Parts: sequence; C-alpha cells; structure tokens
Amino acid sequence: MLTPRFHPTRDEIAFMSFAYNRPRVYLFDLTSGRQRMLGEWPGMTLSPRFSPDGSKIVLSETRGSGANIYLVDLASGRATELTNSGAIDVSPCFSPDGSQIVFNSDRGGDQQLYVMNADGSNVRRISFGEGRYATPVWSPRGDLIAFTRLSPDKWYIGVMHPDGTGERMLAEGFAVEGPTFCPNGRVIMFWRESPARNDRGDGYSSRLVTVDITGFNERVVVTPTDASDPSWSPLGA
Amino acid sequence: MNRREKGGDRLTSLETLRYSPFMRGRSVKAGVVHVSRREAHHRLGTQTRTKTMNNIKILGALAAVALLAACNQTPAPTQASTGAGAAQAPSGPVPGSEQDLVQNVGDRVFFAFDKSNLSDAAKTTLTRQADWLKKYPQVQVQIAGNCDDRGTEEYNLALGQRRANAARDFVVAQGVSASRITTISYGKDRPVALGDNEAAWAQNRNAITSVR
Repeated sequence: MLTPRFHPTRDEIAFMSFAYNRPRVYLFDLTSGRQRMLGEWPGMTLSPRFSPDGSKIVLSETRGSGANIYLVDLASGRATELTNSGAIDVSPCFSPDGSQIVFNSDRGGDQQLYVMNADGSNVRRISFGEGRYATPVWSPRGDLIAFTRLSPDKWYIGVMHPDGTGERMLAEGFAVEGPTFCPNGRVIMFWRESPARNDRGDGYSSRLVTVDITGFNERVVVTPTDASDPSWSPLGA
Repeated sequence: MNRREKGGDRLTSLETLRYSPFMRGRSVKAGVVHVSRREAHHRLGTQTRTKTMNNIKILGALAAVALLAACNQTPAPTQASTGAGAAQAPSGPVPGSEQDLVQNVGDRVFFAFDKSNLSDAAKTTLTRQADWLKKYPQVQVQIAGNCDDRGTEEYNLALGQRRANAARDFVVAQGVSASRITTISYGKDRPVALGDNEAAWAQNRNAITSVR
C-alpha cells in the first residue's frame, strides 16, 4: 500500500493499494477495521486526500496518457471531474478553508505546482524556480504550501506562499520527498532516502525526518524498519 | 511504504502486522497489499501502524512484509524427456510461454528519463511481441510500466501508466486485439536494478510484458 492520509475528524484513512493487481484508492475505517474501494474506476486511482470538512476526497485517475483530478462526494459516491488537461495532474491537496486545491502537473512540459478553485476553475501556476516541483501540501493555517523540489542531483523540501512568493528550502538530500505538516504548522515531516552504494542495493535506507519550518532542528524519527509516506493526523483525530 | 527488507525484519513485520490493531480481525492476505520498492519481484505484503508522539498521531506506511517470495519468472514446464514425441521435442522454452517471450522475443522496452515515447529499438521489440502474440492467439499479456526512482511517488505511478499505455497502443496498432492486453503501473516501486546510478536507472525505466 501507498500514501495513507488521515480523515480530518474520523478515525479513518484513505490510501492506495495494489490489492488484486488493481491499483485503486481505498478507505480504511480504523475503528471497525473495515476497508472498501472508493468507487468503480476504469483507470488507476491514486493520491487521495480528504477535504477539510471530511465530506469529500480529491484524487487522481489515470486516463489515456495522463491523469485527471476528481472530487468524490463520500455520501453519494458521485465523482466530479476537476481537471482534464491530458497531462499528469496528481497530488491534489485542499487549502484549509476548502476553497482551493493545489496539485502538480506536467501540462507545461515538466512537473510544476498549480492552484485552482475547488470547482476546477481559475488554474494558475505558482512554481517558477529551477527544477521540477511535486507533492504540494497546504499548511494548517493556509499561509504556506510545502513541496518537494527536484533537480537532477539533489532534491529539496521547501515552502512557499500560495501565490508562489517567498520560496525557501528547509531540507535537502539525494532524495527527500512528501512533506506533511504537524497540526500547528510549526514542523514538517518528510522521508529521506540514502542512495545505494552498489548494484546490490547496499547502503540504501528510507527514514522519516522532521524539520522546523524555520529550516532548523532536523531530526530522524525512530521507526522499527525503513519507512516512507508519513501523514500527520489533524488535532483530535 | 518500505523499500527493502532484510530477511530478519520480514518475520517481525509480519507478526506486527498480524497483531496490529489496524488489522484485527482481518486476514493478512485480504488486507492492504503493498508492493514494496527494492524488493525482490512479486513479494507482496503490507504494514501500516500509528505511533503516538506528543499526543499526535503520525501515520506512515512502514515495512512491507514478504508474504509471497515467488520468483518473477515462473519456470516454464519442462519438456518431458520421455514419452511420445520426445525424440522430436526441441530443447528450449515452450512456444508461447513466458520464457519463450523472454528468451526469443524480448519482454521489455526502455525509456528516457521522464519520457514515454518509444525509441526505434523499443518499436522493434514491440513489433516482435505483436508478431509473437499473433502467432499464439490464446496468450493474454500484462504490460507493466516502471520508472526509476528519480521522480516522486505519485507522479511516477502516472508516468509508469503512460509508458505501459504507449507500449500497449503500439502493439495494438500492429493488429493485436486490445482485449488481450492489460496494463498496470508500479511507478518506482519495482526496480529491476537496485543500484543508484545511471545504468541502474536506465534499466528501471521500462515497460515489461508478461504472460497472464
């Protein structure tokens, strides 16, 4: 399984699974232990995230040579198409007030960050630095978007304001990916991979790391084995 | 999501999974299935757990479990060395088998970084695959798209699907029925080569055809 994400209020997670060789988004009720596939889709569904009120999930479905973003109402199961650019539009994430969605798309040639209204209108690009940008997440206060930035030799975890200004890097490495904010927005967790030093894969590791949004105080989180895809729960979950 | 396990961790992880509150009352096999990165082929397993830290729960996908350690290449049925027809039986893989595809046709094509367009070499291989599929009309195949790990997870899932689709569309254009081909993407989670260098990455940017 990949990319677990917390529901904002219930003990529930959304995630993606390769069960039965059909990669799809699932919902997992932590109290009952029950899980279900979210809807019936012809293509692969991936990158789920709950809306701030928990009533909807925004996700991507591969279609043709691209991936479109859909909004799924959890009560009715109805899916609304938000993007259809023919490009790969993935990793959508709501603003905390629910009015906007940030995502990454290669519609301009390579992966960059875009923001749109929650109904899919008014799409505008916000990332313009060097390299590719990915995995955007909105801060709990709404003032920052954290992201992964990729250059050929080095990746970064960074933040910028939702209008694209004020970009700064918090952490870097051979591969650092997938920021998630703690509920008060002061700390970000991500995962860091160290490269294999030979063709047997020796030396490879994958660790969860936290860093303050000041860019200081980096710490490795102790996990029983290698780990990735952290998701910080909201308060009260 | 975990990337690679040592043998010792595997059992521990399985036990943890089995007794995790998440999985209570669930069969492990019916649970979430994780295709871990840097794992040997076709090892499927999962583990998710929560961890309480400063009154805040942190959820991560940890440590895949090797439930199935099956080999990628199912050995083709061996030619019987006795019995009728043995005298004429040629050596080598059974015609129309996975091994036949791998040895005599070529089961995979390769892509440039962050690209899904087919090179001339890829088109040659896929043309051979199409001819082979026309010769064995009962055979159904899966085309799996894969990526190197120099991209992010979710994007690479979609990129791998784009590669699988590109290979499928070419084979279908050669006259093979689309109904005989399924596609899937494993993103960067099933590398063929475990190294972190250009040679390894080049091997991992592929679309692999296998007999279903």
